[in-house]
Amino acid sequence: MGANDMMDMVKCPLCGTMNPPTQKICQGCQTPLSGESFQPGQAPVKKDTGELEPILPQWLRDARETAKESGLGERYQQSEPNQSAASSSDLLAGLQSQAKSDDEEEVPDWLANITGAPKQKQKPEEPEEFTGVRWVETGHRDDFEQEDEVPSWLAGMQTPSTGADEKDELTEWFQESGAGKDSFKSPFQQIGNSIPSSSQPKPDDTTPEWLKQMAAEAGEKKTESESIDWFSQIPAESPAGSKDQSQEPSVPALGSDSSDWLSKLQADVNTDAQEEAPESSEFPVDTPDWLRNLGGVSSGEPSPFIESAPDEPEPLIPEPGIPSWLASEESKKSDSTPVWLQEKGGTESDVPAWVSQDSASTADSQAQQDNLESPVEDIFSDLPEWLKSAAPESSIFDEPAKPVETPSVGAAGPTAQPDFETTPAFTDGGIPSDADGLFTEMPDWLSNALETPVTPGASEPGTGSDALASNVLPSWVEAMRPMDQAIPGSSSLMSDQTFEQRGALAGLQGVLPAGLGFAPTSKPKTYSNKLSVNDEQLKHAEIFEQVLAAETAPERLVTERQIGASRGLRWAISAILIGVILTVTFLGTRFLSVPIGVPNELRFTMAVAQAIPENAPVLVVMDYDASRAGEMEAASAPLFDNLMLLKHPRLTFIASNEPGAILAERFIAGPLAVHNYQNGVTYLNLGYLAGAQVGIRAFAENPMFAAPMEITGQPAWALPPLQDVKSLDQFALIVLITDDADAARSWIEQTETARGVVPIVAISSAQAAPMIQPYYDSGQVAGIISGLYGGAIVERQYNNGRPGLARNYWDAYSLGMLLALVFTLGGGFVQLGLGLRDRTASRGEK
Amino acid sequence: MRVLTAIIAIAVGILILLGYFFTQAEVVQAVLLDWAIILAGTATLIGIFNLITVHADKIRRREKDGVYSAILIIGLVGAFFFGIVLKPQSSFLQSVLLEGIIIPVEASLMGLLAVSLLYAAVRLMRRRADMMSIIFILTAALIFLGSVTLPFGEMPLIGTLIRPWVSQIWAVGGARGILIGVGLGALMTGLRVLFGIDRPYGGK
Amino acid sequence: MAFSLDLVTGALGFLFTVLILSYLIGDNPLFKIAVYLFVGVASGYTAAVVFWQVLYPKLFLPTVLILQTGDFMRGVLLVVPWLGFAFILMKISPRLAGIARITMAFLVGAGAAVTIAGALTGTIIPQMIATIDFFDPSLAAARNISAFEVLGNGTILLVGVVTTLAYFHFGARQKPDGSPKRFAPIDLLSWIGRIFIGITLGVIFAGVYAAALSAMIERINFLINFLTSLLGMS
Repeated sequence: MGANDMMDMVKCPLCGTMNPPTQKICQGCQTPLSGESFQPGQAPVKKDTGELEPILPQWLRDARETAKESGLGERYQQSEPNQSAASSSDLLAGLQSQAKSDDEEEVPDWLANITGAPKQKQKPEEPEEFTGVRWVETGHRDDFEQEDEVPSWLAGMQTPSTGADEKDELTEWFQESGAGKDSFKSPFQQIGNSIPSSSQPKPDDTTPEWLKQMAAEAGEKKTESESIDWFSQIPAESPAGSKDQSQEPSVPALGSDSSDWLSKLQADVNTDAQEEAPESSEFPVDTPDWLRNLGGVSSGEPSPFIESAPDEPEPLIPEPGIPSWLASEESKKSDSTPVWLQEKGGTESDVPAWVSQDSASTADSQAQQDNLESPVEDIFSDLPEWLKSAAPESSIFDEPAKPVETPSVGAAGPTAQPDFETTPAFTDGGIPSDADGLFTEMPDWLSNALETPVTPGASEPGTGSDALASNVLPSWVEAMRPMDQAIPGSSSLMSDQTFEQRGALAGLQGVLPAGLGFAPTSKPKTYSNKLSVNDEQLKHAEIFEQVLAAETAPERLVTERQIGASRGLRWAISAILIGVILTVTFLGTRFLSVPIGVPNELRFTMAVAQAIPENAPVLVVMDYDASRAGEMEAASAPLFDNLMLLKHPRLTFIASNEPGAILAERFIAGPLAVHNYQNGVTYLNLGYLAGAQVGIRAFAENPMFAAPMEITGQPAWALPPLQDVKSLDQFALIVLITDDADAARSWIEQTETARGVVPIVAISSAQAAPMIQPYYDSGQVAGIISGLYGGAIVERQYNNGRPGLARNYWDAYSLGMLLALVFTLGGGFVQLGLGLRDRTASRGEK
Repeated sequence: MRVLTAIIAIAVGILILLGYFFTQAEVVQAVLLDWAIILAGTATLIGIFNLITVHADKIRRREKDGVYSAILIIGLVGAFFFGIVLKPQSSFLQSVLLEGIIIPVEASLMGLLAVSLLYAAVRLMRRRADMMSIIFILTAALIFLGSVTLPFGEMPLIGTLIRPWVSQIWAVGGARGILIGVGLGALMTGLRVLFGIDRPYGGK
Repeated sequence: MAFSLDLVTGALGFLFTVLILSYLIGDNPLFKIAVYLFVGVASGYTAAVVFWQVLYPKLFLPTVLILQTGDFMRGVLLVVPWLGFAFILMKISPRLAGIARITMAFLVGAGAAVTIAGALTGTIIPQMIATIDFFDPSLAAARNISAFEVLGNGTILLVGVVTTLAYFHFGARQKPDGSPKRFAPIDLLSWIGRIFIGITLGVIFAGVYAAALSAMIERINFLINFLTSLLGMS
């Protein structure tokens, strides 16, 4: 079979069987393929369906007029102000002429309405722009942003870049309808679903899964206005089709459109659809195959319903009360034709009712009313398998039938309007509890139909002119049919039954065109796998390699010869030092003289101390660690011995470190025990003053407040040692005993202003004396007694050689200093020589 | 929290600082400083508690030196218990804790320092023989020599003249420079805290 | 020597002194035991001191007195310490440790103010004035210092102070090769300053050694005294 033969083959719109052109009836399903029926691939003819307005039944025309005058559409419009004003050739195509819209829609409305993208913004697509098909398959996010490459038929699927925070209402609508719904629905199955969407102004997510996936991949969300269903487009299609006209009542337009849609049914009584279709077609030439395949069945007519249909988890079996205008009397008679599609052509039992439209040419308006009342229990049972698979699990028609007193449009005031923002159109549980309100927004023509009681006779096939005849499409459907003939080779593409295996469209058949005109035409660009670098880049690479080589090259470490810790030297020093001290101490030798010369700072210290009055209050600051208790007691005991012997001062001890208080007790009970000072009587221990500098400052400013109690918990400032003393400057002398230069500095600094003219003398450890000496030079400290050396001098010079700790330690101390001199100088020079030798050797090695 | 702590630090600092210059602010300064004394004491307790926590963790993890940590905690708890019950100034604690443990250990460690210092001084010239090291060692040796007395008194000239001259003039020159430098550094540090530039209390 | 508290104290002191001095042989477990026990005992004792000598008289006792007397007006001054006490105790909990920052901020602010005032009025200004006044003949005479000493020693002091400060000046320019270069006069002064610093540190080193030597002597003296007492030699 040649290619031309294939092109001439006629595909059955129902079962997809390819039939010879001469075949009048499908070989597979016996569906008529004659010219009377609509031929798949048949190019629709552009047609102004508004011309068919006069042929509408009077009741429909009245309903349209009523709807126009009502404010329902206005309310609807207000709820969705951003609704696209695009007009489309959809179910309401009859309004085209009324709306005077000059929109040349190239995107089918059903697709455009999926995302609600304004159709005006969609540019005519070139056939080669179907490269966008690939991004559908791969689903790459970036591809979605390439709007220019998106085919028009998919352009509507793209979610407009309206901001990430905007709500994807359409998707939510579908999600609310519950899981397990078929991603794709028969357009006709959606018809019913689309109706409640008009009464539920908030069209929630009705996006099929594959569209959801695409939307998710696109990473963009739709605005409410952009995600509205086909119904939401209605106001935009009203008269001017512009935003200025967006305030036009939409529901009247719906009523008009609906009645027009129905009027088409009537007008089709004696209309040859095959002749009109090519003339009325305004559909884009790039309509996808799968749509064309459907178009063979339904052409562009179902488009508006697909995306607008809410995916309601309603019972599959509908209840009475379904709009009977969709039902057919033949539903009872036909086994294979869906009841809701069947018309009275009972003889064409195997032909779907919508195909056998011609048989309904005799149906009158009464039959139309009857159709509204036809039972729908077996609507879907009659669906062919291919349609069943695409059918939704439920629809609005599944709602248990109950006669609904649908208020008139005019009666439905704005206050009765549900909140579009908060009220979901559908819930998971099926029809909302206020299902009555579901139909409150329905146009009159539909409300009237719903109000019609269900009668057995309603299931009889209609015989009026409104009834759909098999294989005969109404004119409005004809008007929406794409002009497939404009695409070369489209007929061959229509037969493309490729079953999508992967991607967002997995499971769909014939969705993506893979034939001529849609496949990539350009040869893939070849790229060389060789680097093309210029000289400069080579130069840089060379430098970079050199840097890397320098970094990774082993570098010779300049190692200094490790001077290990000499345990022998340490032991030698220890042994000699301890041996000398032990020997001298054990022997108790006193062959070395204590220092004779009296340093100035020591002289002034003694002068200040001896200048205090008898029984004067003396503040003694204890700020040394236990580790230096031996040194500090040896250094300070001679001074206090002198003072206590000569002046009997009242001593007040305060400590600025934790062990200071108990060291004061040890000091009194140890070296000064001979003076028999009593706590609380002749001396006082104020204890520990926390906070270091802060505490010192607090004590200097207000000693009574900072140290209110003595160490035993008695109020200190009422005791004899502190009699007549309220502040720091009322002490006769401040003696600072410290081994810490920082502590000494803190006391000197913080008492600078508070102590007034009260002299402060420092008895310091030898290690702190060099840093306290500047304060003596500056006059801030009246005198210094430095360590054992100073204590020994005081003992000898001011205590008349009274034996004390300093003298006991002095020989060992003096010898220890001599040893230090020997080790430091002798050992130092030896080590210096060794070090020079090592360095010379290391230089030689280098 | 960052702002609150900064405000507290700055406000307290300024109020206390005003007490140095205005007698009217001395009362506020005294109150704030008294509070600071209490809080400093509490901080010391927290530090000790942290010490317990660290060593308790070592024991719990059965680390290598966990036994020593147990000894530490036992000593700490025991000393604290007896300190609270008997009060720190009791003669028992003074005898057992101070005279029996604290002073012997601390003084002995200090005695070890003498050996270590000598060892370090000997090794210094081998490791580093630059001008400063030589001056350092020579000065130390001079002080050692000047501190040594003979049976009849100080070392002539060195003990009576050079040593005092070096320790009270040359050393004081450097020490004063160091003290002024320390003072300037403390001043700048305090100002940075008061200006909120440094926040050693956390919240940087 | 009869069994007494002094004997126990002496024995403990002897034991711990020997344990610590055993470090001269090398690090050993006995030394570690002594050090760890010392740290524990010192910390526990410090905690007791803080409780009895800081918190009890300044926080707990006044609170109890206020509760007993009902004079809650005096308790106003204790609100902040109690809050700070509570906040800083939060440091125990890692989750609430952040609250302790409030107390730490209080302490840091107080310390900063005290440091500023102390450094300014107690060290910087007095020491600078002292450096200047050293050249004052009247003051020198009051201190029994001759004019020759004033001029000579004053100059040494002045140079020492200036050069030492210059040594701690770390400002430098950047040479073309990127290395830092001090300003030449500063560089010269800092070089001289190194001499003064070396001398000062040498003196301090000698002082530290003297203090350590004194401690060593005291310990050895204690050991000898204890042993002689124990053996009844004295």
